[in-house]
Amino acid sequence: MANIGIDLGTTNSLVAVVMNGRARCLLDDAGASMLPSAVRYEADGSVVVGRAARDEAPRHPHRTFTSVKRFMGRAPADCQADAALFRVKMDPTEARFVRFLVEGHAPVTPVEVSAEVLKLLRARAVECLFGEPGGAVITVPAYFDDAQRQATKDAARLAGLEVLRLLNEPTAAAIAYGLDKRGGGTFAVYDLGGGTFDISILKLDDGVFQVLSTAGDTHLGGDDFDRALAELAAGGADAAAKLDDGAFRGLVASARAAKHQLSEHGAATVATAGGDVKVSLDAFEASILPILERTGASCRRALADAGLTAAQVDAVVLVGGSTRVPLVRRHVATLFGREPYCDLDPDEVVALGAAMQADILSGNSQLADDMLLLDVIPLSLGLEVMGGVTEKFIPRCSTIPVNAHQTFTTHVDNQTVVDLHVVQGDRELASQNRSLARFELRGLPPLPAGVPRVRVEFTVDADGLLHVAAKEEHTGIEAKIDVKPSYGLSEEDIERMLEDAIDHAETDVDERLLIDARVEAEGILAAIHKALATDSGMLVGNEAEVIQEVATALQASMTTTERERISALSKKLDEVSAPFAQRRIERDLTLALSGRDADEVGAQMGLR
Amino acid sequence: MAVELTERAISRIRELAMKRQTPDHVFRLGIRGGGCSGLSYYVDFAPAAAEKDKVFNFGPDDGKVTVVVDRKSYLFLNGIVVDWKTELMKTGFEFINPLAKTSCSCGESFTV
Amino acid sequence: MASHRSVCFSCREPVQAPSCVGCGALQPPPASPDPFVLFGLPHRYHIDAADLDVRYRTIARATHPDRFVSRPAVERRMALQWTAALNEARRVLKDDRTRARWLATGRSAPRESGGPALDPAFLAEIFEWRERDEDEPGVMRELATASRQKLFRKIETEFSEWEGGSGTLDHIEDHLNRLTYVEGLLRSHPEA
Repeated sequence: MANIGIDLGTTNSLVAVVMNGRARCLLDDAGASMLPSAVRYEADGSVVVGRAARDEAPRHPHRTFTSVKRFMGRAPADCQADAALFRVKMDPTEARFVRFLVEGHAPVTPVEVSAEVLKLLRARAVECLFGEPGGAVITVPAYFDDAQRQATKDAARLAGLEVLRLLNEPTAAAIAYGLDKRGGGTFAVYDLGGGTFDISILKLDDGVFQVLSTAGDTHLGGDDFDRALAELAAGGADAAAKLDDGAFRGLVASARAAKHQLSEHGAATVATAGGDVKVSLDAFEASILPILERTGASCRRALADAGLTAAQVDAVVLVGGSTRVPLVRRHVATLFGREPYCDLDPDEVVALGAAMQADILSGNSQLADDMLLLDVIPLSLGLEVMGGVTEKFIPRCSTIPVNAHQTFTTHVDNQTVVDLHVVQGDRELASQNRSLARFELRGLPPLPAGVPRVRVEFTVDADGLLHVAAKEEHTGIEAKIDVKPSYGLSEEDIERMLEDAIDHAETDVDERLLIDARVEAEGILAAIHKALATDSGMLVGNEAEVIQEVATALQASMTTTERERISALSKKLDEVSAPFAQRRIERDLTLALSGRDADEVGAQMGLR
Repeated sequence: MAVELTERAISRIRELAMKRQTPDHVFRLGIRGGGCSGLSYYVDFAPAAAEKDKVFNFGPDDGKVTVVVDRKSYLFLNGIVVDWKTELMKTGFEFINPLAKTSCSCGESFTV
Repeated sequence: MASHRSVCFSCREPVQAPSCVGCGALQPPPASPDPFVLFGLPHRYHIDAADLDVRYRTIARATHPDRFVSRPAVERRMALQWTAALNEARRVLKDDRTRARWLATGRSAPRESGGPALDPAFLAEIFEWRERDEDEPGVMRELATASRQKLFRKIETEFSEWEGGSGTLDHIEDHLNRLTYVEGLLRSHPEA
């Protein structure tokens, strides 16, 4: 079972796998590696994913979702601007997490929409690999915070994928470029995708990749180029704002198509409601220059965080389809004082790197298995303390996994409950940072204020996800912590969605796996009974009893819905009967190879 | 006797090779024994044929599909016909094996 | 690498490395938070940064969670603990300030959570800087920069003496607390 790499992008998503030591993207029927991250919900409950959904979006503006990655793991209050920008309607009754209203369909969350994209990529892998993939490495922007990473993991789980690792996109690109094959060096990865911009400064030393710093903007990308061009063609931002949702989407789609021609032909025509408008390359470049200058500011910040100057960077790698725009390449060359690398397809490079990392994690890779990735967290983690101030406990750019602890006490006498508010961000006031979770420490001993010592331990794992544990030091009481994710989905939400999916879709993972497990178990039991009936003479020792015991347990488990138990027992039955099976096959082969031809053996075996 | 592929199977293998971006790989057909669950068919792509493999070529030179079978598997697969089925209940390769005494309902495993 | 545990949790054989040589199971990280012990380094302020990097990579390769993706959950948890401890220890040793504070006090952060204690004479000096800065803008930055250099020199000298077998680390914590304040001052008054 090969592991796969997935680039879950804002605009497009890809899946890649290492086959015989080389990473390749898997293609669709039309030979395209990119799956547009667009999902349309039909009134009959069916779902259209990919190119058709994207291209037909102008006709179904209230049932189609694109650029959903921008909403992943975010709170409705933080998404108002995006909802207006992308003309989607959020469920106003849900304050905890984003839920989109769908015309003629129940509301859907960004996690569910992303899961549809991932399901299709998984199906592509199943088709090409003749079976379920082992596990997946999924890439996320380096800038993603805890809630956004968690949402990505939730989407993968909903799509039936086992996530081996969340990998920062720029790090994946560096792997794809084989920068690990160099002796060492400092590299900048400039990733301008459809919807996000990331700049990462990576250091390679003796096979260890380390992210020195990351900076970026989750709201900057090729979509902004499309919009700039659309507004240019519509005669200004005000004119574009007056268009209805369908017309606006149509205009942006037309601008996107024209953008590709612009770079090649120096001019292009954009179809607008008022007729075709010709736009020159100069006008387009002037309109996107402010966007590029914003990337420059992030680059300078990342360099400063890494304690480096542009001249100390040994190579610059370009990632993301938007880096095909010639002005972007010129801009990057000026920023870093050197020509960037762009040999690999900038759209595929992240997926290819993810596949290579997935292969390395399989433990039997033909690729550099001495390579180790060390990532950093993009934003500081802290707690809200008295006065609404953020007290940082894990600073930005700390290498992960990382562990930190803080000791807290009570403010009033006999206080038995302490509220803790975990935030992510680098602003001084907690309210200006991203709220990650609120914890309640309950069951503290009633003591005078300031006496209890509650040690709270924070661990950020290799995926950049936060785990928390707490203990009162005097009494040893492990205070109970209730995690209430401020955004994203709780474990119960996910379970409920999985159950809903089982109710509504035949293709749902869990149910299908249960059926598969039962079918497999039936097959094994039938074969065992037949083999025991014909060849019991070949059993040795207590094999008969052992096999019978496991077979009985398996038979009993099949009436339950405990899929994992059924599978485990099937596997066990397979194992305990393996020597017996091996003896039967060996005998057949010995007969076959002892002078008679295959037809005769086949006939002989068929008769038995 | 040999190994046969239907036209549908040939074009399906060609399409999969395109999607995987491995046009130069060969298509390996074999059997594997899984404990007492009988024998099951096994398909995959491989970079090249192994030394003692039986090699079969299908289709025109410019869209050639090469199928390889290892020697042990060939004892059980001689005479097999591989088809590609796209039906409502089952989409996949179908194996018609003259040597198989019983096949399971899904057609993916068999006993001899 | 430091010896930190005597018996493998899994097979009960004696172990010296992060992983048991007998059964390959990853062991828990050392209970002691001493970053020098974790890296097998002597307690010295003067360390070779390149050597620390090599030691870090060697241990990280053996303990990183990516190496344990298909191992049992208990080992995956230990890999997480190991690498987290390793990253923290490296952070402490990499920075001159935290390394010095650890050697002098056994902690990497100041004792007071609300900021380190400072003596009144030093605070009076800072007050004077601020006053002079009002007449002559930029003077405070110059004075603070000079003070920072002086503090680093003192720390360096006292550690050299201590490592040579004479002198004490009694004043290090005080120097570091002043340094923290001076550097905070420099950060909040960026160059014009």
